[in-house]
Amino acid sequence: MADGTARAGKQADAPAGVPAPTGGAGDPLLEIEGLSKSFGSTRALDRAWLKVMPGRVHGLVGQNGSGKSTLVKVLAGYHDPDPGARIVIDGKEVTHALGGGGSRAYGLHFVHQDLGIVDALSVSENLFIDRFVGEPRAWLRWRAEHAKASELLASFGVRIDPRRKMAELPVAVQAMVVIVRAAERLRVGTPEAGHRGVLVLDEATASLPLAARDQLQSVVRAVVALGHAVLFVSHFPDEVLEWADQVTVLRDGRVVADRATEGMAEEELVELIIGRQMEPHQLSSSLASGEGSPSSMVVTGLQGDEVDDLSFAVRPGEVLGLTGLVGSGFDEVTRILGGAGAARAGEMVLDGRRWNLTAYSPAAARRAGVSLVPHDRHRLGVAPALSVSENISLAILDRYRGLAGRIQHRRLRHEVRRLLEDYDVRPPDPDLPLKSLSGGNQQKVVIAKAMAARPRVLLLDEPTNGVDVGARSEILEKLRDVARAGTAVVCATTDASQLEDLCDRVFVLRRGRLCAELTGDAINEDRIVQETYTSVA
Amino acid sequence: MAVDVEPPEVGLLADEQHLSARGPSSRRKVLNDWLGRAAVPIAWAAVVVVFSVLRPSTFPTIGTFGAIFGSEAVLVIVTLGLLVPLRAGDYDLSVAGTLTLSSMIIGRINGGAGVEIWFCVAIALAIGVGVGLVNGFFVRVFGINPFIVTLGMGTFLIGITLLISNDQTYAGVSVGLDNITETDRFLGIPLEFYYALALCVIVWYVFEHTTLGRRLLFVGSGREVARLSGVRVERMRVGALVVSGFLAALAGIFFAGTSGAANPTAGSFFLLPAFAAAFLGGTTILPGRFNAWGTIVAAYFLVTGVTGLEILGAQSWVQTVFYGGALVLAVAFAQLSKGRQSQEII
Repeated sequence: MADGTARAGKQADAPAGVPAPTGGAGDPLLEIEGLSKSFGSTRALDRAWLKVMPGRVHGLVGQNGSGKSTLVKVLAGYHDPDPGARIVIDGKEVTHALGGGGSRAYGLHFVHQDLGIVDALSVSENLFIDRFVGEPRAWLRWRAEHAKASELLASFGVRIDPRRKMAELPVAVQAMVVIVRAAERLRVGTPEAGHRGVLVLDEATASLPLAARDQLQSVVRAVVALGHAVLFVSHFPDEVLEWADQVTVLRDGRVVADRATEGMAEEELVELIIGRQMEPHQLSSSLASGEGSPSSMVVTGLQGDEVDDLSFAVRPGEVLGLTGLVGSGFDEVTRILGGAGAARAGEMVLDGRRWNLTAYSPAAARRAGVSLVPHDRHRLGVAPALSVSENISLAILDRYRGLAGRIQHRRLRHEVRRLLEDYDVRPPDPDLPLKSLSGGNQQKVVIAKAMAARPRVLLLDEPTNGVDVGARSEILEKLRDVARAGTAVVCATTDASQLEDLCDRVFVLRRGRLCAELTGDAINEDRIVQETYTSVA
Repeated sequence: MAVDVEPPEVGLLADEQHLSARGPSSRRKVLNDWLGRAAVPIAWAAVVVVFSVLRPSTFPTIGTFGAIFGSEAVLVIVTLGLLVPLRAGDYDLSVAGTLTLSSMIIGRINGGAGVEIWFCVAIALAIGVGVGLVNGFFVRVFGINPFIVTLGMGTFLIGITLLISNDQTYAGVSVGLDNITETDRFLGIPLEFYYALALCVIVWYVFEHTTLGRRLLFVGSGREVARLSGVRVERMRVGALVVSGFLAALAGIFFAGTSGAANPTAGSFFLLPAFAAAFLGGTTILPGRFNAWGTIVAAYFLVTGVTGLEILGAQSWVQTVFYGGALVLAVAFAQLSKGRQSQEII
């Protein structure tokens, strides 16, 4: 398909996809053609392609479900592509499986959001963890190790004492060390590829503080200056425009754009990501719109690891949605208010009582009248080995406490049966071990357990995680009932359709701050996604 | 070092089948369930029958049963104490050391120095509580795994016992103590058996019928769930170690009473049987959890097995081999069925 006709034919076949260009200047370091990946009947990737040139930072963007992470997982060898794909790295066609370190042999290295470091060890040890300088000698000469580490770091512009423990360093410096380590592995590990390779930064910046990103960018620049290529996978359009020379946009598993970033406006990139025109932006200023009722929960000045000075109020019967990208802090709010996470500052007023959120605990949350449905069901929500009844009743035991701490089994059982019926847990048998229930029914138990305490405010952290479609709609219906009965509900989720179904108001957070408040008709999937991916100056 | 205290999980199988088909297979399921729960009691009965047939003149006698039920009440008490931290998800390896030190306190200052017995008992119990508090202090304040803390503490206490005993056995323990433990009998069985039985009832009641016991269960089976639900997890863990220290000291007092003397090393032999009984007990009566009745049945099953083998003429090594083997097998059986289950959870 070297000419225009062939291209047009291809277009008809795949209307939303942009076909790969042919020829062009120089040979790409990483070239992917016709990459498809199906999971059952859903097609996560559809004839995707990618060309990453040496000495360049190449951005890869797309919203959740665009196939971006599937592509990265194929490169990492975690998924095998469907037949017909061709992956060429520095002129060598990939013929062996990429999994189990195979990608490394081809000169592909990954830095993930989880940096993969050992906190308790020194910078040198972390740098050379898989291959010490003196090897194959069995003993180490620490002076030489440290000198080598120091020199290596300095060549990337990182000046730190390599004897220091990783844990003592700020997270941005840790990320730099990890990138230097990956670059060093590229150099050492790919002699047959001329000591150059592709470094994949897989959302590696998502959890970094804003100020740290600039420093990191210079390290990434130093990496490509050596002739490597960097594939920069990110959620943040502005960051991609700033860092990358070229950007590939994925939507619904297809490549919809492959452009130079120079001169590209952020709105343009966001439109490519979400696939439609942006609506004129408006930031509602009715932050206090929940303060109308005296029984509202009012949170002021909330500050956590990610959340930065957030204030809001929720009325009884209202459902407030919180959303944003990973690392924006939207999910930290529910964790803190439920007592599961620590706040650096902030205050909550509920029912006329004032709670200092820096001196707060799960027990305090209970007393305040706040219940949390945590997102990690099996670790935080329920004890899988114990029975349904035992799980549901844990938080309300004191209400059924008789003489000398005796549990009033009959009354408690009655209440548990009522809750099982109310929340439509199937089968409604209180004595079954919780783990014998389906995921959806387990989640209903978690919600019933939270509601058993009769909270004023119900906090939800991804309430339909790992739940099938049928149970999902039942759970959402039940949550609406909960709100209708007068409980204030705060729901943190990345699921835009869930927010549309459930919420009266939606906050979109970006880097810890409120960037949009949506109400009424503005609460629709498209708008929520658009706000999530847009930055607001 | 991560050491998980996994309550054995036997008999919770095939619940999904139970849901989908309440028809004819449900009766089989109930029978299977019942057999799972009753496996250890049935095995115990079988062991009694086998030894009675093999040694009709010596085994099925009041004397033998009195010895089994009476003298081994010490094992039952220390195991019931151990059960409390196990239920909270923590090991206590210092119980045998506490037991030995406690019995030596009685032997040394009652038998040796002639101090009033009640005073000695009070000191021994206070030491047991103190040991639990020190264990709890290191667990809570330094966040050290109790496995390590209590391993060190147990060895430390045995050393202290050797120090205060000068490596000698002390006889002449109060006759009163001897009477109320071993000599006085009811229905031919020494009184200490009934103390163990009463303690079993208390532990069962607290575990299964009080809010405290329910919270303790969550501390062991879903620690983060408990924490998020407002349970004071660390306080419960310290409390559990204090209870096991207290009951180990109590067992030590009865041990001194039963043998009428205190030996600086004899107590350490209780550690393995106690763990074997606790883990084997966790596979029966209420399978999948450490439970009081399962523990008492398992303890007497193990003791009956050892006693029978000794009557058959086995050498003393049999005891160690039997207890060690029983511990590993009990945990292996539990793990086997758990492996089958974990596939359906994840």
